[in-house]
Amino acid sequence: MKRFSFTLLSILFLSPMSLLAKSGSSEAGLFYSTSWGSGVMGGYNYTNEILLGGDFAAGDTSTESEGPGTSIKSESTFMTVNAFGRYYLRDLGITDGLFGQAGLAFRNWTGKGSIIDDRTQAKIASIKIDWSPVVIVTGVGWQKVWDFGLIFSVAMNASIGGSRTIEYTENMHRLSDSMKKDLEKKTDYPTNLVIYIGYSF
Amino acid sequence: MIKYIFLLFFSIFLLSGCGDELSTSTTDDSANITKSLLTGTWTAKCSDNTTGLASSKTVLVFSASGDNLTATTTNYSDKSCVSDNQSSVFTKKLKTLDLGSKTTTSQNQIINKFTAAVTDITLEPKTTSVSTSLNLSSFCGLTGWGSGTETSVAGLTCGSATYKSVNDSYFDIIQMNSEKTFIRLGNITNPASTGYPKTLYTQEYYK
Repeated sequence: MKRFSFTLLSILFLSPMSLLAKSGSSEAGLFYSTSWGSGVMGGYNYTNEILLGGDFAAGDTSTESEGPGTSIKSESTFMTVNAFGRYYLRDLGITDGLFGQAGLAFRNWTGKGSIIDDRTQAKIASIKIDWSPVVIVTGVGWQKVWDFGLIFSVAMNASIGGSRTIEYTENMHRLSDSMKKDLEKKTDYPTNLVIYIGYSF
Repeated sequence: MIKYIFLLFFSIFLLSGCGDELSTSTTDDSANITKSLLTGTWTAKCSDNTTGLASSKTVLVFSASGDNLTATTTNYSDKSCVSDNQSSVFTKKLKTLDLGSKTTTSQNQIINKFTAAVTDITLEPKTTSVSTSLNLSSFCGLTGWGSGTETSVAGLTCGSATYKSVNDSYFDIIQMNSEKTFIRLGNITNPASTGYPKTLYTQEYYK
């Protein structure tokens, strides 16, 4: 089974790229991103080189951990609508399918967390995070389109121009600088790997 | 050539993706402890001792507008604090309580320091078997223990503990939760060089 899968993947990736992604064609598919959740993406090939696209992604994370006599609970939700333009470098030989893209992402992201004393259920401290609703997203990636219309792409995106507000509330405990730095680092998503599988029509 | 410039442009953009600009704020929502808030009776839950064969319950009474504090610990010969099984009552009486400003312990717990003067520290055996036992061992160097009789142990060494004398300064720390439903006091067996306890007891006292 493993050998079959490997052979199939080799054929798929080594086969010549089709010209299905040509002017006037469209595409749609599903994607997974390492930071922003998963969602649907669609696009229209305005020319052979230029694709106008949009996507919607949603995701959430929740964590629950135990400290010494405390419970730490956090949850974040991410909903993102992204409109972008993509430019393909079609005539670079082996790099055919390489693209760069830029666009605007409209975000509805929120995060909150609290530290609760296990014995008394008293709130020790809490955290609230808000992200700005609009951010510029740029990226580079590589796409492959097969004759039968299947599209695979992988891209690395970066967000620029956004802002994030973290509100710490201390009830019975002062949050240390190191704890704050750690949280700030973990809730920053400067880059985002996106893996996409779609269909060209 | 323009395509390479295009590629370079996006790569630079990607690398410069430094995430969201961060702004933070910290709100102190901890309770502002005042003598007025403290005034009244705060009762701890019954707690088993380490052997599980006995138990104790402590009641704190802040009186005279929070100037005085009486901490009464009743020891029981069962593990459920049944009042018929009282074995002894240990009472600590403090006066001229002076509440300091808000600060933190070394473990970042938000607390207030306070000082007071010792009015008296007493021990009262509640049964004859307890008073007999105390007399036999000359507990605190005394042999006049009697059931139902409160005896001052201020300034005396009783077992492994040496108690403060009357009018000695008393140093402690206090924490109140934001909802103002319970308080905690310091672990006075673990004082810093300043005299104040370094840490809090986990025992909570509810109003």
